[in-house]
Amino acid sequence: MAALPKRIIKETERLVSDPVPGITAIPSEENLRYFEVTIEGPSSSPYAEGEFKLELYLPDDYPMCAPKVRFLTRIYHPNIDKLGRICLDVLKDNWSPALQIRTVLLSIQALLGAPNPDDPLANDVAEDWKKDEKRAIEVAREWTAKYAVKS
Amino acid sequence: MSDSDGNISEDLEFDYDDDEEVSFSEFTADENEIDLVNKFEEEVYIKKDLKKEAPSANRLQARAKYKAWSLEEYINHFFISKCKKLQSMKLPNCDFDDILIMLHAKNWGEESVINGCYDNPTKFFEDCGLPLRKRNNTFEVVKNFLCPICCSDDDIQTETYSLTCNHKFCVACYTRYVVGLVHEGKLITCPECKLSIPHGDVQKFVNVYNEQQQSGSSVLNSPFKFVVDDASKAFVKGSPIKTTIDLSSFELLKYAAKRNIDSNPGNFKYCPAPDCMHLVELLSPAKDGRTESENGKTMDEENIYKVPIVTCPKSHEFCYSCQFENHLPLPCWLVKAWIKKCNDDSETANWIDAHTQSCPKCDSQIEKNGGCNHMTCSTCAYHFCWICLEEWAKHGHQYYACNRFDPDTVNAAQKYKKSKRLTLKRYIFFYSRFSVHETSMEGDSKTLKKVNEKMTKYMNEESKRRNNAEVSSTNSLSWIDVQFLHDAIRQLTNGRKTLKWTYVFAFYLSKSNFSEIFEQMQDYLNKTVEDLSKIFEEIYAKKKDSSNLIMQNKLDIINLSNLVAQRQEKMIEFAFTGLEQKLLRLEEEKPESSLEPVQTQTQGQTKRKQR
Ligand SMILES: [Zn+2]
Ligand SMILES: [Zn+2]
Ligand SMILES: [Zn+2]
Ligand SMILES: [Zn+2]
Ligand SMILES: [Zn+2]
Ligand SMILES: [Zn+2]
Repeated sequence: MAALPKRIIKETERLVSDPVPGITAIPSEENLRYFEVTIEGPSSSPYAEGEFKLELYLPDDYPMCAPKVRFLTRIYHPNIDKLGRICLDVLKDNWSPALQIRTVLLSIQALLGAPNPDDPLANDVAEDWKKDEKRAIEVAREWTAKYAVKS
Repeated sequence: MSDSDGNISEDLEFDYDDDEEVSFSEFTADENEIDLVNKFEEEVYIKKDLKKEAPSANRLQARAKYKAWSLEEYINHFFISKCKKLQSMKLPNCDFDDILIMLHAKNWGEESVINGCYDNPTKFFEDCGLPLRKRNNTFEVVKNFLCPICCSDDDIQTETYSLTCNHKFCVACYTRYVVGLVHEGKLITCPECKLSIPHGDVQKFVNVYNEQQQSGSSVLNSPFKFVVDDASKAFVKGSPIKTTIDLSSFELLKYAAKRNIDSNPGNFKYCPAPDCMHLVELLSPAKDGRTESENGKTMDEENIYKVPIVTCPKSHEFCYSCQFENHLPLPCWLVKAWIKKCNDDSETANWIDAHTQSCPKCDSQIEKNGGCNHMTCSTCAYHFCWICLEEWAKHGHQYYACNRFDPDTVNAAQKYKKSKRLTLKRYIFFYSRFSVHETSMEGDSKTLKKVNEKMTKYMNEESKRRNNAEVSSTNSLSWIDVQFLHDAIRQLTNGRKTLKWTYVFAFYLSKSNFSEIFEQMQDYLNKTVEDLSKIFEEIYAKKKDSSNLIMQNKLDIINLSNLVAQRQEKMIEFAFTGLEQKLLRLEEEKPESSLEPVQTQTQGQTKRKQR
């Protein structure tokens, strides 16, 4: 494998020295482009008290293209599907090389605080959400208690 | 057809001068063929004077007025001229670059730009990613610059670029960023904010990238290590586009045009040739019987066999209706039926490996390289035919026996097999011939490219030699002397393309005396195409003095390619006349559903979009 680009080294250093509150991102020892990530659910959301595990991978042409991020913990959310894939603009069309790992993770945390059922990925969840928001929030809370237990 | 001026609307049906008869030195058609053709002409043209109505492939082409557009012409017409028009209106606080960005942002709608500029200019400028103060795009060399994208601070001096927002990034990163986005055909913004990069600057990045590619060092492959020598020359501080620059060559505008056509095709269709970005616009609906049937009139039998062949500005012929290569003599609906069948049956047909074959004599594996179907085993030197695996010598004196599928023989050999298997076998028989020629076309084009390269090299050496020795020009070749090579190359490709489609035609053809004539004509065309292909392959295979071989074979090449052209045209004409006069019958009827005129299809697409 080619040497790790300076950009990735700098970002990794900063994630360690100046971590984002409620978020951890630790590079794997075998592959410094692969990160194990945890995100705490925002306090005012049904995901509060939960700790969600994600994986993040920086493809070869990062930062010209977006990092690949996926939830490993099961989550009930209109913009996240069964496989943990996330529907988020900055991970797709709105990616810019000026963005960073930390901005991406912050955006994901913000998405937990503000679900957007009109731009869904997990279709059935989004349907539930639109039909009966109260009930959907209840389910999200149940799932959080069940799957996203702090280790 | 015309390739000189794409602006001229061409009427597909043009008059034919009596084609000058080609004289053949050694390639005169044999007696059998003359008899055959005579017979055909007698029977087909009973009441017609053949001399006046010269046979021509173009009788099969539907009458359609169309205009061939190069992408550059499209850009000039739909983008640049609007821009110039708005510029002449003296919109407040806008220069040419701004207007181009505004038009691009508003999908090339002049009205929205005019309205935006007057109604709420502040918001409009912001929408389009234009700065509210004077534009200040800066290319400059910065000392100890830390680029936020690559984080590289290795170089003491770094070339940087920034828009009015002053978000600076190194030119290497900016180039990678711009080149990565230009294919989307949308405006490209600053990586950090919403300001749009002017088209001229986008092109400068594209140029920097292309220069790097040419010099061998790749920006994309060696990330973040990239020295810009000429970037400082390419970028002049804040320079607006000079209107003298050829805007239509701008990469971003090309992709913007593509985007525009994809979302709103109208009567435009792309040339399907690989890497060709040119267009054809239909001006009047194809008069191929479709319009008549739409008006409730009886459909003209004759006309449903016509194919709307158009030619792009790069001289690529294609069928406007199918957006597929020139598939004469096969009618359009059978092209669709055939392609569907091939997709459906591909599983069963998969066992035909068109690329490798074992020698029928010694069983050693042979790979087919060029387009010629005359194979020689490298192990045992056995000469055989790729298609029928019979000894090649058999093909020499007789005609090509390998073209014809004889149900009697197959029946005799496989009496016990059910008719279903026969159908499949029949399909595979024709499919394999179709695909052999398709593969051969690729092989041909590889061979021909090499032959052309050899010739070019030879010509260059020749002219060098001439200049040095000052040999009198009568002894040496000029470019005009080798023009025949280009013509022959094109003729071979065309001939093989027609040949390829005649196998599909034969697949759908009901057996009759006339279908036998068709098959025999196919044999002749096949033989001529293979003979021509063989010459090129020999030239290709020869390591030294190949250019001499080209010149030695000049007459043969010219004669053979003329013969290919002649037989190809005869074949297409025979197919058409045969269908028209019901001497040939196709087993597959034209389904009503595919009668939809081209126009309706386009409208249908638009409707779907709107929903
Ligand atoms: Zn950089
Ligand atoms: Zn900016
Ligand atoms: Zn073309
Ligand atoms: Zn067609
Ligand atoms: Zn052999
Ligand atoms: Zn054969």
